[in-house]
Amino acid sequence: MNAPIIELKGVCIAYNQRTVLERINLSLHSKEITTLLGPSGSGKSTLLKSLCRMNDHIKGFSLEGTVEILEEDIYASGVDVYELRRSVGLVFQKPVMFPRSIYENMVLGVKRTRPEWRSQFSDRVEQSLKEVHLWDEVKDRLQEHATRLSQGQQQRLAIARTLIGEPQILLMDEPTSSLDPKSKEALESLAIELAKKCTLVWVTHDVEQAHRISDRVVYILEGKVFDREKASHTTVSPDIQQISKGRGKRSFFSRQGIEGS
Amino acid sequence: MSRSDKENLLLALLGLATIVACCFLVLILSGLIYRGWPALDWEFLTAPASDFGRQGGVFYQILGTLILMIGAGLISVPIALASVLFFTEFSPQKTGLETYRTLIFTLNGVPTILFGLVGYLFFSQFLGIGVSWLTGVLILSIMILPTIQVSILEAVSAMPLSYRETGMALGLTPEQLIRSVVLPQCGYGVLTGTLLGCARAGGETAAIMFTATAFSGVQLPESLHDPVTTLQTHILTLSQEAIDPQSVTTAWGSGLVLMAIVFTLIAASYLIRLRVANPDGGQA
Ligand SMILES: Nc1ncnc2c1ncn2[C@@H]1O[C@H](COP(=O)(O)OP(=O)(O)OP(=O)(O)O)[C@@H](O)[C@H]1O
Ligand SMILES: [Mg+2]
Repeated sequence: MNAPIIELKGVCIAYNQRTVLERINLSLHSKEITTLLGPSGSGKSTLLKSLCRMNDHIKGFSLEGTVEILEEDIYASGVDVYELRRSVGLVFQKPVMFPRSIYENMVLGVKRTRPEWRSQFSDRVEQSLKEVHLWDEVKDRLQEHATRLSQGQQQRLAIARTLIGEPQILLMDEPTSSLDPKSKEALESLAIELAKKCTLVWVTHDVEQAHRISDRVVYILEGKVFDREKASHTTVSPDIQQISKGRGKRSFFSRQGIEGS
Repeated sequence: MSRSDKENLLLALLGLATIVACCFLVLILSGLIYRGWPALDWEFLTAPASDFGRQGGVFYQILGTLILMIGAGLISVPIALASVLFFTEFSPQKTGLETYRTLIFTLNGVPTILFGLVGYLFFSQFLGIGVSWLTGVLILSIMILPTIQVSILEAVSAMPLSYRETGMALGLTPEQLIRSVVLPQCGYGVLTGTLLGCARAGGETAAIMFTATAFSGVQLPESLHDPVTTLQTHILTLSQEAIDPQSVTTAWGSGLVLMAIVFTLIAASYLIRLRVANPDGGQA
């Protein structure tokens, strides 16, 4: 396989000296869907945000080791973190809509980051909204307040707003947790479509969902990652319980992680 | 005493305090209107003062107050905005923000006469501007700086973190974030702060008494070194001649005009806040 698009080498992450993730090694390949699976508080969001340096502004955050994206160490000095965030998009758990029109929300980022596209904005808005299957629902109301959309529509709008900047990697932090089953399903199939053009990292604690959509599932438990290809696993829930139990017993004696892939 | 008795007592005390405060406001307003109204007419607003302020109108006094007020606002707003945004947007991990917050709250409580004194020594004497409208503008701009800063800082601090994070995740630089997210969401804070700051500058007397104003014989300043005459100093001087009924009436009339200017600014800032609290976007 070609060079990994995301590669973590010996990454340790701590908040105020309290270690959240320990010596993580992980490589993710282009145009795959990877899900990060783990219980609440295990550090899924932390890991995800460290891929676009969204933790930087948090007091007490520290990261050791190297995170390479597109073969570049993103924590090295001199990295343009704004350019990084343009190619590594992040979608939050709860869609954040600004109290402005749908159109304004769509171009919020690119208006500043890609001013050279100005003449193509309306085409690109249309294209991105079509990609998330929202265009037909909003094409006649682009000037309406985005906060009036339903949760599911808002989440798709949030994804479209990120996609319009043409990121190569799309990070999603529990994007379906505030959605009804139907929107959830729609978003899952959308993810599979999107993976044709960009690499997806999807955080969830829904085991079933992880196995429905992903090429690869990465478990995060007690600060370690357990990383396998989807194909090698059929029964998942017992597996994760086992690891969890095992870690609980062993962690006192050994802090060695199990390395996958 | 039971719990609900205590609560009722507390409620009664709070109610009483509110009523007392309102009574004072009503008393001041009605007194001002009752005494000042007879002086008010078109001529009073548009004619220059004559006979050492006893006769004529307060046209140049109104202009003087407006010059000082607007001048102070024009200087103070950009400085306040830049300093707040520096601490909230550019300082890594918000270092120094708490110190800065304490500093501006403290500055807000400094007696205005001290601003006048220091401003007089520095601008008027040391820089040699003399007793002039410019000295007044500079002193007032420093004086109202914390008022505007507090208002902007509160607005920026009240902005949901998710807005900021969303903007950052889209790859906006701090400058772009300010233009696309912070200013659109917090513009009301800049506006209300400006209006309240200007209202404060408009009511200020002590700091400009001996640094920027002259009592009579002044119209519009023609150079940087000319003093102005203002409503607030006009009131002060006239009310010192309490035996002359004409002076007293003019003083009350000037007071009413000044009150109208200040109240307009405060009311406008209140309306803006109200509108921010209930935007028509139907947002929660
Ligand atoms: N800003 C912060 N400051 C200090 N500690 C934090 C901060 N953010 C997260 N943590 C800690 O890091 C650990 C991992 O948090 P994180 O949000 O990454 O978990 P998560 O796996 O995303 O959980 P969830 O499924 O509930 O979203 C938690 O113990 C949390 O308390
Ligand atoms: Mg999380």
